Amino acid sequence: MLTLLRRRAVSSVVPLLVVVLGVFFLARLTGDPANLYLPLSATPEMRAEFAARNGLDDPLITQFGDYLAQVVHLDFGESLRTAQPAGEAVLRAFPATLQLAGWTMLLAIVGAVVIGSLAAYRPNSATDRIASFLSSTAASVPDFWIAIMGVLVFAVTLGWLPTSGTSGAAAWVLPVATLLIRPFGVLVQVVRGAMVSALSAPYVKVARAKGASEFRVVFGHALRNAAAPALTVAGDLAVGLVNGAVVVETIFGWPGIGKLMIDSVLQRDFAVLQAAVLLTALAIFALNILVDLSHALLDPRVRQRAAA
Amino acid sequence: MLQKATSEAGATTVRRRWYALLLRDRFASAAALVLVLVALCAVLGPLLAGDLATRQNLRAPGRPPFSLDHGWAFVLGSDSLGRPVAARLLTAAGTTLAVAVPAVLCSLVIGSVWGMWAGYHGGWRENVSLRVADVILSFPSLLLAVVVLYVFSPSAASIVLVLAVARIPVYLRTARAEAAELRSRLFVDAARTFGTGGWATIRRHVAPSVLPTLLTVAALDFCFVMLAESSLSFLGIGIQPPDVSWGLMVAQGRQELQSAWWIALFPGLAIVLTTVSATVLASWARMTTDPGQRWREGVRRSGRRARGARGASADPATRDGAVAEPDTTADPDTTADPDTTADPDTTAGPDTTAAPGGSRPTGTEPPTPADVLVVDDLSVDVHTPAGPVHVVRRVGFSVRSGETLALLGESGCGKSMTAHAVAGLLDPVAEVVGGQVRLDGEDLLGLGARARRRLAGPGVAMVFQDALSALNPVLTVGTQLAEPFRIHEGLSRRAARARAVELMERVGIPEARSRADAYPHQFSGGMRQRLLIATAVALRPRVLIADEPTTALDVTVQAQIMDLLRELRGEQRTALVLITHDLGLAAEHADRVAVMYAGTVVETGPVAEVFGKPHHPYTRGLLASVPAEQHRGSRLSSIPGSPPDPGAVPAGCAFRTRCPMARERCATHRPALTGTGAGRAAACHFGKELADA
Amino acid sequence: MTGSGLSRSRPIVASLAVLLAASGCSVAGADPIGGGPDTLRIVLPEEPPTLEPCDASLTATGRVTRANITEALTEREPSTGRLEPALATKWTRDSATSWTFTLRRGVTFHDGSPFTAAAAAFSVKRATDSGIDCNVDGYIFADSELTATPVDDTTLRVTTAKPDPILPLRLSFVEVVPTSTDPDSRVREPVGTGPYRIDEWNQGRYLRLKRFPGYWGKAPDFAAATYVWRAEGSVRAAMVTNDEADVAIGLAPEDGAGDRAVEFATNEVSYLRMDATKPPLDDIRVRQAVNYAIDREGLVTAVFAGRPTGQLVAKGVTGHNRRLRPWPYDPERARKLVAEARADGVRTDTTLTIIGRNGIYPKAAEAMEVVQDGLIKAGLKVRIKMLDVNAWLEYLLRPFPAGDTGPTLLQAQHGNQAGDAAFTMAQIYGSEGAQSSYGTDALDTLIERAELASGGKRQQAFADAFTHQNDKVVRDAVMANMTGLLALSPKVRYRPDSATNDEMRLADMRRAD
Repeated sequence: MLTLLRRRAVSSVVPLLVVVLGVFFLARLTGDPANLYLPLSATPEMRAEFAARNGLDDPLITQFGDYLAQVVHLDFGESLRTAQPAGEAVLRAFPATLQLAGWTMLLAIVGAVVIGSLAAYRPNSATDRIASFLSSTAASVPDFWIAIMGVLVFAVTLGWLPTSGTSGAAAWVLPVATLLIRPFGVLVQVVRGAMVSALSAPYVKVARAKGASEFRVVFGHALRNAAAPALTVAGDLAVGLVNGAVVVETIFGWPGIGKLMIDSVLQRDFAVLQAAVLLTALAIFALNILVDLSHALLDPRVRQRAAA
Repeated sequence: MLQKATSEAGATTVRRRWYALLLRDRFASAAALVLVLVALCAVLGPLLAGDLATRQNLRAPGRPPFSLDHGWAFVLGSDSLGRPVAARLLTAAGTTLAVAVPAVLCSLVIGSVWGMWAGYHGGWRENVSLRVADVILSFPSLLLAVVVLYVFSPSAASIVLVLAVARIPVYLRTARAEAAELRSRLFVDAARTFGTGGWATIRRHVAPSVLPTLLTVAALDFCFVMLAESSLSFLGIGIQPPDVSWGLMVAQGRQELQSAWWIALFPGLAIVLTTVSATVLASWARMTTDPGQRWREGVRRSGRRARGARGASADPATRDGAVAEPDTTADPDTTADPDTTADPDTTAGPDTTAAPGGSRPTGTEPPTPADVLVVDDLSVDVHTPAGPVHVVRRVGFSVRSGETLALLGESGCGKSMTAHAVAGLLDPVAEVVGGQVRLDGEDLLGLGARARRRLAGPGVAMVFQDALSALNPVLTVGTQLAEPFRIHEGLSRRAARARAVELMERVGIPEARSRADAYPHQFSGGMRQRLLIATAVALRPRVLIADEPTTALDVTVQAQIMDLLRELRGEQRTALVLITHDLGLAAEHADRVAVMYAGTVVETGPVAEVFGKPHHPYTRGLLASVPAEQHRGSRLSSIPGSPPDPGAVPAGCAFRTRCPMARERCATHRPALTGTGAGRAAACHFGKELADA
Repeated sequence: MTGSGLSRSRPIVASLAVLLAASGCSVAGADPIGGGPDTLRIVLPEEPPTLEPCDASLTATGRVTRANITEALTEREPSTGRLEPALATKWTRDSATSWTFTLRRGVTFHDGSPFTAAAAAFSVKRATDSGIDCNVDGYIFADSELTATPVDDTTLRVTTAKPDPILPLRLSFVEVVPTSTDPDSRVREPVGTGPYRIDEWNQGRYLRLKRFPGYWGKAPDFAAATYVWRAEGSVRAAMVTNDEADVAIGLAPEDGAGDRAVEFATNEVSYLRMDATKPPLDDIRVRQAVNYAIDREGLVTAVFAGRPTGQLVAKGVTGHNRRLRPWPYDPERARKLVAEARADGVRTDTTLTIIGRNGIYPKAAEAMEVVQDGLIKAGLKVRIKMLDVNAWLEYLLRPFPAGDTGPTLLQAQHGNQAGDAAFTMAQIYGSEGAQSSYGTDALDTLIERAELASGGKRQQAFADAFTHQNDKVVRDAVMANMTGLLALSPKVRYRPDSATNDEMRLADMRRAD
C-alpha cells in the first residue's frame, strides 16, 4: 500500500509540472490582458508600463522561470482583477466546490449502488428496463436546463427551496440535485453492468449454495467484485466535478473553483487561473491515487500486484 | 453513423444476420430507428428545411407549438426571432452530428489504439501514457476550449478538436486496462512466443476483446460530447450562429424558459433521445457480440412462454470501467451448453415419443427408503431468443447415503444443468418445467425460497468445477469457510472462524490458522479445490454434488481430491453425486453410474456392470473409444459425429444419427428408460438385445 | 457484512459523511441574505472586482461605490443633466484654466476624520496622477492635466493645463477619500463620506454595507444593504419573486420578473462600427445600405428592450440632437444601394465579418443574427464571429489586430455616463480616437470646436457633429437606446433613472410602507 502510494506520488510530479507549464503558456496565448485592465483610451506607454509591472514584458521562458521560483515559495502571484494574492482567492473558492462535489458523489454512489444492484438483480425485468431507461436519460439531460427548471419549479412556483445562494441546508438541494443527475445516470449503468457480471459469477452460486440470503449474496459477495469498474468511473466523474461544476456554480451563485476558473480565463487573470489549475490538478492527482488505493483495498489481487 | 459502427462490430462475431437479431429486440430496433432517423435528418435536413431554419420573423416571435396554422415548420413553435423550431431542429441535426460523431470517433480511435498499445507493451510506455492521460484529465478543458477557439476562431472543427482531446484519456485508460489484463493471459503470450508482431497481436487478439467495452463507453460519450458542446454554447464559445446545433438551441432557449419553454425543450429532447438510443444500441451490440453476456441476459424467470421477441436489450453490462475484471464465469459446462442453442435458425424437433403414463418412475429400481435423493422426471428448459430449448428431459436417478453416483456424459449433455437444477442454482434463463427432486421424501422444487435456503448446505451441497472462480476473490478464505456456520448455525464471527480453521485442517490445508486470512489467489489449484470441498461439507450435507471437481487439476492432485471426497463421504455418510465426463474417474470412484446423452439418462446401473457390459450403444461407443487400460483421464471422443445441438435434438431416439444400430423405429419412437436387468436400465429399443447378447 | 474488507470500508464512508456534514455546516449559514426588514437586499449580475473609488467608472465597481460609500465634489442629476452640489457646495470659474470650489462643512469620513480641502486635493491627485492606473483617469481625464491645491480647509483650487469648460462635471467622477488612503496602490475597501460604509465583504458570497451614523445628509431608510451576485438573469428575477432579494438589476424582458419589473431609460446605445477603410465598406452607399438593412423595430420587439435611435448619446446628454431620427428599415433601398455600388465596381461580394461580443447586452448573438439576416437580404456576404471580452477588445481598440481579418462590423455599445458628448465624440468618432476605426478631417474639426465651447453653443456644436456623422460620414449603424430593466420587491420604492446602471443610490431606495 505504502509502496503504491509513494510510487504514485513520485510519478505525479512530472505530470503536475506539465500541467502548470501547459496552463502557463496556453493562458498567454489568449491575448494581452492590458485591454481589459487599462482604460479604453490607454496610451502605448501605459500599456508598456502595465506589462512591466505585471512581468508580462519578459520573454515567456523567463516569466515561467520566475513563476516556478515563486510557486516553490508558495507565492502564486497577484490577481489582476482584485489585486489580491491569487493563492488566497483559490483557497477560498476550493472548499465550496469540494463540498459540493463530495456530497454529489456520495449521493450518486449510494443511489447508483442501490438502483444499479436492483436493476442487475433481475436482468431485463421491468425494474431493470425502467432503471436503465431513466438512468440513460438522466445521463443525457443538459445540466443548465435542469438547473433553471429546478429554480423555476421548486423555488419560484412551489416556493419550497431558495433559488440560489449558499445559506442554509435547503440551498444545497438544487445545486447538488443538478450536479447529481449525470453522474448518477452514468453510475447506475456502470454498477448495473458490473453487477450483472458479478451476479452471474460462480462464487455467487457458491454463496447461494451455502444458503446465503439474497441480501448477503448481492451486497456481501457481488458488490465488492462489481465495485472496481464503478470506482474507476466514479473517479472520472468526480474529476469532472472538481474540475469545474461551472454551470451549477454560475447559475446558483456558488463561489466555487469552477466559476473562479472560467472567470479568470475570461478576465485573463493569469495568476488566479494558474493557481486554480495547480490546485485542482493536485486534487485530481490525489483523487486518482485515492481511487487506486481503494482498488487495492477492495481487491487483494490488486494489492498483491501493487506490492510486487 | 454510430449505429453503423456498432453493428459492424457486431458483425465480427455474429456474422449471420445481425439485423434479424436486431429486429427481434424491440428496444434495440426502436433505438436503431431513432438513430437512422436522426442520420436521415442530418443528411436531408437542409434539403427539407431549406432556408426556413434561418427565416426570421421579428414581428411575430415566439409562436407556441402544436399548431399547424403556419405550416409544418411551425408545429413545434417558433423561437425568439420567429424562426420555426421544427425546421431548426432538422437543420441542427447535421451540425450536431458533424461535431459529435467526429469528436467521438477521433477520441475513440486515438485513445483506444494508444491505450491498447500501452497496455499491450506495459513498462515505461504504459507509465508514460497513463501520466499523459492524467495531465489531460486534470487540465481544465474549458481553458483549452477558450485558447483553441481564441487562436483559431470558433468553428465546428476547433470544437471537435477540443472535445476529442478532452476525451482521449477516457478511452486510453479503458483500453489500457483491458489490454493489460489480456496481456497477462496465455494466448497473447503464446502469440508473442510465435513471433507475431505487436500490432498484429493487438489487432487480432487485443482489439476484439477490448472493443465491446469501448463501444459502450463511446455511446455514453456521444451524449457527453453533445452536452459539452451545449455547455460551450452556454458560455458563448460553441457553434457560431447562423449555424445551429441542438446544444446551441438549448443554450439560447434557456433564456426564454419562462416565456417560451418550447424553444429549449425540443432540442433538449432531441439530445436525450439520440443519446439514449445510442446507449441502448451500444449495449445491444455488446450483448450480441459477447456470448457470455447473451447467455446471461435471459428472460424473466416467471416467463414460461417463448419470449423470443423480447430477448435481451436494455443495456447489458455497461461495464464501462477502465479496469477490466477478468471474466469470472469460466464454467465451461454451464456457459457452453446453452450457447450452442443460441442459433435462432434451428428449432426443436417435435417430441414424437408419447411417454406412456408419464407418472412411471423413470429409474428402474423403485425408490427405497435408503434413497436420500430421488430425482424424478426432471425437465429443464432454457429460454433463448429463439424460444425455449429443452436441455434436460425427464431425467431420473436416485442415490443413497454413503453411495456415489456418477452422472456421466459429454459436455453439453445436460449433466451440469441437472445438477444445478437439483441444487436449486439454475441461472435465471433456465427453468425447471417438470418433475420432482426429493430429499428424504420432501420435494425440493415445491419449497419456497426461504425453506430452500435452509436446506442449502445441510441438505444439498455442491462442489464446483473451477475453484478459482468459485471462491470469491475479494474475501479471505477464512471468511468464506465461516459463512455456512454464520448463516445456518448463527455462530459468532470468532466461533465460526474457529470452525473454519478446523475445517481447513480437516481437508488438509497446512498451517490452517494463519492461512485463513489469505485470499483464494494465494492458494494452489489443489488447495483451492480442497477449500471449496471444505465449504461444501461444512454442514455435513446429506447430498453432495461434485460437478467435475477435478477437471482443472493435474493427475496426482486429482487423486488426492478424490480420496478426500471419498473419505468425507464415508465419514459423513453423505450421498455423493459425481458429475464427470471421465470414465476412469467414474469407474474408480462411483458405485453406480447414470450415463446422459442429449439431456436424458440413457443408461444406469452399478458401475462395474455398466462398464463391463453396456446396455446402450452410446455407452458402448464411449467405452470403445477408450482402451480399457487408459480409462483414467481420457476424454470421450471417437464416436462418429457429434452430440446434437440441444435446440435441434432429432426426433425419436436422440442418438440414432450416430448409432450403428439405428433402424426405422428409432426415428419415430423415442425409447424410454426400461429395466434391462437387476438394478440396470437403458433407454434403447434394443436394450434387451444388448443385455442378452 | 460477510467480508472483513467490507466492514473495513465502513468507517471510511462514515468519516467521509461526517466530514461533509461538518463542512456543510460551515458554509451553510455563512450567507446572510435575509437580514430582516431593515436590510435592503440587492442582487447584481457580478461581484465587484474591487471597490476602489478611482475605478468607479467601471460599472461593476461604480454602482456599489459611487454615492453610497464614497462621494464626489459634484454630482450630475441624470434627469435634467444639471450638475448639483455634493461635497462642494458651489464652484466658480476664475479663468479659462482655473476653478475654485467651496467645500461642505461638517462632513466626516467613515473613520471619523474630517473632510477637508486637503483630502479633496489628495483624492484628485490620487485619481489623476498616480501609478495605479485609475480607470477614472483614462475615462474622464484622458490627456488633460490638472492640479488641485487646497486654499484653506473649505476651499479648493483646481487648475488645468488647457481650458476645460466641463471640469466640474469631470470632477463628479473623482470619489473623495481621506488622506490616509494608500496613494500608491489600490484599496479594495475604501473609506468615504457616503451614507453607507462597508460592514463585511465575504468574497464570493456577499457584501454588506451599514448605515453611516455620521452622514452629513439625510439618513437613508434602510439600516443596512446586502449585495449578492448571480450571473443568470432569470435567477436574479426569481430571487425577487421568491422574496430572497428586494432589487435585481440587469434583467432582460424574458427573465420573468413579471409585474415586479421596472423599465427605465439608460444612456447605453447599441451600435455597429463599420470598417470604413476596407472595401466594400469604404463606399458610403454600402454603409448606408447597412443602416437601411437593419430592422431596428424588429430588434427592440424580439431581441432586446430599447428604442431605435440614430445617435450614440441618449437624451439628457449635452450634445444630444433631438432632430436626428433613427434610420428607417428599408430593405428595398438597401438592396438598391448595394446594387448601385456593385455596378460601380465596389467589391460587394467580399465577406463582412461581424465581430460580436457575448453578453454585451441580452441576446447579443441573436441580435447579430438579425443584422446578418438583413445584410444578406441586401445582397452582402456576412459571417458572425462571437468573441469573449478580451478578444473583442482587440478589435474595439487601437491598434487593431494585424493580419487579414477583412472588413468587419463590430458589435458595440456605448454609455455616456458623464452626460457630455465630449466623452463620446473624440474617442469614438475622432480619426485618432481609441475606439475609432475611421474619421474625417471635417468631423475632427467639428469635434474639436465643440469640445472648447460651453453652454448652449456646446450643445449645438455637438449636435451638429452628430448630424454630420450621420449624414456625411456614416461610420456607424446606431441601433437602439437600450432600456434597462430591474425587479423591485413591493416593500421597496425606487425610481431608477438613466444613471442607475452605473450608480445605484441606496439612499434613493425607500421603504414602501
